[in-house]
Amino acid sequence: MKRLENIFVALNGWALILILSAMTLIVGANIALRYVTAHSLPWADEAARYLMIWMTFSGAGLVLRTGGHVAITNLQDTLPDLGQKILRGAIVVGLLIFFCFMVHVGLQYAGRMQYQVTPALRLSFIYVYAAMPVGFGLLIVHLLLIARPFITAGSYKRADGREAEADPLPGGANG
Amino acid sequence: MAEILFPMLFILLALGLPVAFAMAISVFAALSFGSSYPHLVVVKEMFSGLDSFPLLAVPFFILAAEIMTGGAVTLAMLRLAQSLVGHLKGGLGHANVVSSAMFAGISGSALADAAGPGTMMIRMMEKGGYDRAYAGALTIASSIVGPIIPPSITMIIYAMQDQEVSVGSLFMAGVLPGILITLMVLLANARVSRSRGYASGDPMPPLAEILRIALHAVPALLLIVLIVGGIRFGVFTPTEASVIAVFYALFVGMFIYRSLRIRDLPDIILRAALTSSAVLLILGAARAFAWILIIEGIPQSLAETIISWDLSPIVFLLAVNVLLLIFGLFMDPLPGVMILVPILAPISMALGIDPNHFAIVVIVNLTIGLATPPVGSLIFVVSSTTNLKPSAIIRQMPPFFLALALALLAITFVPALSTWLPTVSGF
Repeated sequence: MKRLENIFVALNGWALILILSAMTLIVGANIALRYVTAHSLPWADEAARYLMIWMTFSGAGLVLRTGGHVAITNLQDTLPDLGQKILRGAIVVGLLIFFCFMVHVGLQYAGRMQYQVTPALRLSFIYVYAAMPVGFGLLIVHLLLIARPFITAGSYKRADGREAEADPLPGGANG
Repeated sequence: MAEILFPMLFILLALGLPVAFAMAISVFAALSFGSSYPHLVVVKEMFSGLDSFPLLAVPFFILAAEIMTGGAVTLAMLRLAQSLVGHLKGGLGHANVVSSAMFAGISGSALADAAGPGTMMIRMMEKGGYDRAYAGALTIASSIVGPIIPPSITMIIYAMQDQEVSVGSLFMAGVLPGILITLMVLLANARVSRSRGYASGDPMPPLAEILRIALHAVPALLLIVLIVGGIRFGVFTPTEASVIAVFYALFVGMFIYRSLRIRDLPDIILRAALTSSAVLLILGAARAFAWILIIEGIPQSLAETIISWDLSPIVFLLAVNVLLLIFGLFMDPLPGVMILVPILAPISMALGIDPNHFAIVVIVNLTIGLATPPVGSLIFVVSSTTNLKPSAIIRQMPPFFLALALALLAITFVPALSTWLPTVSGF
């Protein structure tokens, strides 16, 4: 089980690495082409944008796992221990319901748009909009994986697999 | 719908739900109970919030900063700052502030500032005899310039909300206010250091040595010149500039500082992807949130009400300062920009306030909000890297709040600080 979890997290991570690398290379190559040959790839912008959409949704679960989503926990912290656990339990249940709902409306939206194609790549929009149900599906799995330590101790997982205190991502989230 | 939207959002935020989800849930709730719009509209708005070429600059600038943050670049900046101001009283503190300002030219975010060079400087200051909580508070105050000095993620998002400004003009507009904030924080540090007797650092090295250290930091400092210059002269768009920044950072890290190894790259890219995902998810949700406000006609009716008060631009700006500072107590800059700019920018335009000036007032205000309790992401970052309670750090903040407030007043009342550079550079 532990091994399956590690493989799942690693795969999710590598998917993100590949997506962001691809975005960088595509936009980079397009600029280089424009300066060298005065031509640009008509599909480059589009591909980069859709990859960004995929990165956003498929990264959300891993961000949740490492406690990277900004939340205000001042009220939580003032509660007694039992109250904290109950509140965090309620948050987990509420989020699970919300994630399932998002998978549902995401699928509906993707299904409705499947007959339209993107302007440059002529790709069915279902491949773009599938990012939302897939991403929220991943969020469900990640939330279930961290549910126990989160409810009992309010802690998240570290990127390297150890359990840790809520550890904000040392990055640029939110300005 | 708004009568459900706002209470719902505040309740969910207070309970401790992540901001992105709290916004999305309250949008769905408002839609379900107050209107006949289908849910799919929300999904559509979230996607159209993300499906944008200018927005690509956000993940790319985050990636460029992550690549640059590797040891050698940060160290080169710290040493340059150290050699310039280290000999003064409170020298290590000054070096912290100056290196933050330099680092702001690489990163577009205050949190990256605090987490990167900030963490290193806190350690150095503690060894130099400073109170750890004071070092943390100083780091928080000096990180504010991260999104004020270009590049800036907040400015990229702002330019997407207000057609009167461009990323390029905002980048230019932020330079002088950023320097002013840096100077004010330096002054605050000087005063505290004098009264507490914090020592001065090493004596100033000879000029030749300073030049050598400066030369070592030049490749890193050149990035900001490349970005701002390239955008200004139309060589590339802001999004292209952000990609070029990534390749430049790779080049500098691998071939000039030689501290970047290929096998470190996957981790760096993953960190950037996760940070970007968190930011972009909030943007998608904020877009749906803003959409409800717009179909409810809230920006327009609020604008008409405020314009009918016939305020002078100065009074309006002061009122905006108060409003934004209160808003900033609870909200981070990006959702703040997404929700408030469509409301406030047209009003300020109607009152004849320069759009670049107004943008800087808004951005500085909301960024200061990152340093204020109860909800200040900067405080959380520094408290987790220093293992100090937020309250211990906050107790050290008053001199810096005063400095930031003075800087904010100057930025509010002296439009030239934000409009002069964009004007002379032809934006």
